[in-house]
Amino acid sequence: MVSTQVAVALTTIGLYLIATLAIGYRGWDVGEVGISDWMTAGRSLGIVVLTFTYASTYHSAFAFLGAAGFIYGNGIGIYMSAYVWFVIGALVLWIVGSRIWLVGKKYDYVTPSDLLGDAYDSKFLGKAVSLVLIVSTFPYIAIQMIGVGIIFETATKGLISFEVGAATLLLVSVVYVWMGGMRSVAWTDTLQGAFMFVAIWIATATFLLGAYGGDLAAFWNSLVANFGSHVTLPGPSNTYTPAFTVSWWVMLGLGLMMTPHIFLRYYAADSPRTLKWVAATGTGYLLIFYIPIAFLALGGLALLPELGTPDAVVPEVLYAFTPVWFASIIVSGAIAAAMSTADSQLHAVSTLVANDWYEDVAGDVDGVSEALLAKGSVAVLGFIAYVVSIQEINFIVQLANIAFEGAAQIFPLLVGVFFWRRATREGAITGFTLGVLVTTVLKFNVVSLPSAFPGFMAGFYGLAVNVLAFAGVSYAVTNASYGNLARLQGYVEQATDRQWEQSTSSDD
Amino acid sequence: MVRIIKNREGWVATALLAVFVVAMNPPVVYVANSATTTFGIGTLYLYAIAWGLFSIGVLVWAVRNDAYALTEEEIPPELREDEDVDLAGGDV
Repeated sequence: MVSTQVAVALTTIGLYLIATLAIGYRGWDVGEVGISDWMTAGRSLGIVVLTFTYASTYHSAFAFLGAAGFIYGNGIGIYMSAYVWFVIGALVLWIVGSRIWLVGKKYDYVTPSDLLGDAYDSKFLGKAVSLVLIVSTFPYIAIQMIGVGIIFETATKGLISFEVGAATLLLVSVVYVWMGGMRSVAWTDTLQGAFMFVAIWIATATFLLGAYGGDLAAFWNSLVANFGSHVTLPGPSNTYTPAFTVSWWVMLGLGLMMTPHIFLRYYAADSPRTLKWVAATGTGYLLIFYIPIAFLALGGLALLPELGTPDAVVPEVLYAFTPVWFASIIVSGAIAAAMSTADSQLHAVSTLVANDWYEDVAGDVDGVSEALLAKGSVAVLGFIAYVVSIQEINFIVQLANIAFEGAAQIFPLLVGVFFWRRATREGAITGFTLGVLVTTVLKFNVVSLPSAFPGFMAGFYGLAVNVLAFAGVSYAVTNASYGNLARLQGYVEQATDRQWEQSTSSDD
Repeated sequence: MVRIIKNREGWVATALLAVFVVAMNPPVVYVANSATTTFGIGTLYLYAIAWGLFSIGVLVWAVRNDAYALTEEEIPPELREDEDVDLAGGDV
């Protein structure tokens, strides 16, 4: 006999998967046959869809499970950093993203390495950027699969195993990414983003009503009295030191915005007006989404203080203090959170593989074969991610640790492209290489810094070395590669100063 | 000349966001760092949420006032024709 929990979970997840497949099919049906459309949705995404695809791609299973688990273990200090990194992201999206859109539209760029390789006139730099992004992003797909597999198994009380759950969800993702590319991903993200936003707020309200009779003061008074270190800095484990707090928002504020699955959304917008508005609406979504998570995490701490797996605090609290049918529906929101990031990563990594590498390997290729390769990559990468997730290949999973801090090393290069006339190819290559090297060496403890150093994140040291090397080498060498940079900077300057008006009036 | 901030509202928005960043970081954040409640809610949590909502307000205001470049009216005609961008834009 199947229990209510299992029946509701299977029904909700089943309906959800059918809906995502239907939306994904629709994205394929209205799209054009071509590689550009598959990779960038024809540069046509508007404010509503881009808001949801940005926000739900930006945060992953971490938003629904990891963040609550982190608060459960370390207290609410995460809000100080997270809210700043959301706002940093908004400014990058608007100020840098709109410039990426402009030159992307003009010169038909699709990936980060298209832009950076051309700007610095260096195939090597383009390839290095692409390689770092692929290597650091791909393991994240496997991590999302591990997350959804665990949720599937928990929600169905083991009736559906971790392996079958992960395979099912991955298969659905592969099918709709393969069919419609960016457009299908963005549209399904809209469903997923709306679902998890509503789910987290309704779940929190229901939990507070069930466990505390809706009395917020009683909830907070009990926490302040019994878990004071969780509601203050630096937290019960002394996590939120000033050095960690600052370096955390710097690295995630920049790093998340440089990941390929976010980067591709700069190109996919229909205009800078859309990017400008999403800087406010997408950031608003993220800030408001995180408000209720503290109630579930700290409520779990107060009522279930001995949880073995802190990341499971949201489902545990919901199953303990809300009706089972309700909890099962909400927990499906966690699956939506993981899938909305995994599908974007699958699409982004496949795009990088096809666009940045295939042409060099296969020679002169046409759009049809490139599209075929990109779509084929979705299936192949999905299969490899599945193997990594079920085999728990630690070496690969560990690579995800440098995903954001490695991606952040791209940011100084973009600043050089758009804002610094002294930037050089030699400086960019040196800075980026050293930045990634320092980040990797420190992150994997190949070298440990003396205790006298402040406790910044590894990537923060990498970024500092990157910036210093980029600036130092650029000042030291002749700016021989300025031709392409001048072209791009001139085009952006022509736009910001509306120089075409002068040429039009002089023509008149 | 690299132009990021477009107008007076841009400078105001930048100053307000700088205040927000300072407020969320040590040592200023320690003014709210106590295991107490304010209006029945944890003081530090309330402090973070209030500043978060403040930052949303600043961003929306900045967007409505085209505080930073690029915006729609700066798109060169060769791309704007393809995009059919509304030059009178600024609102959703």
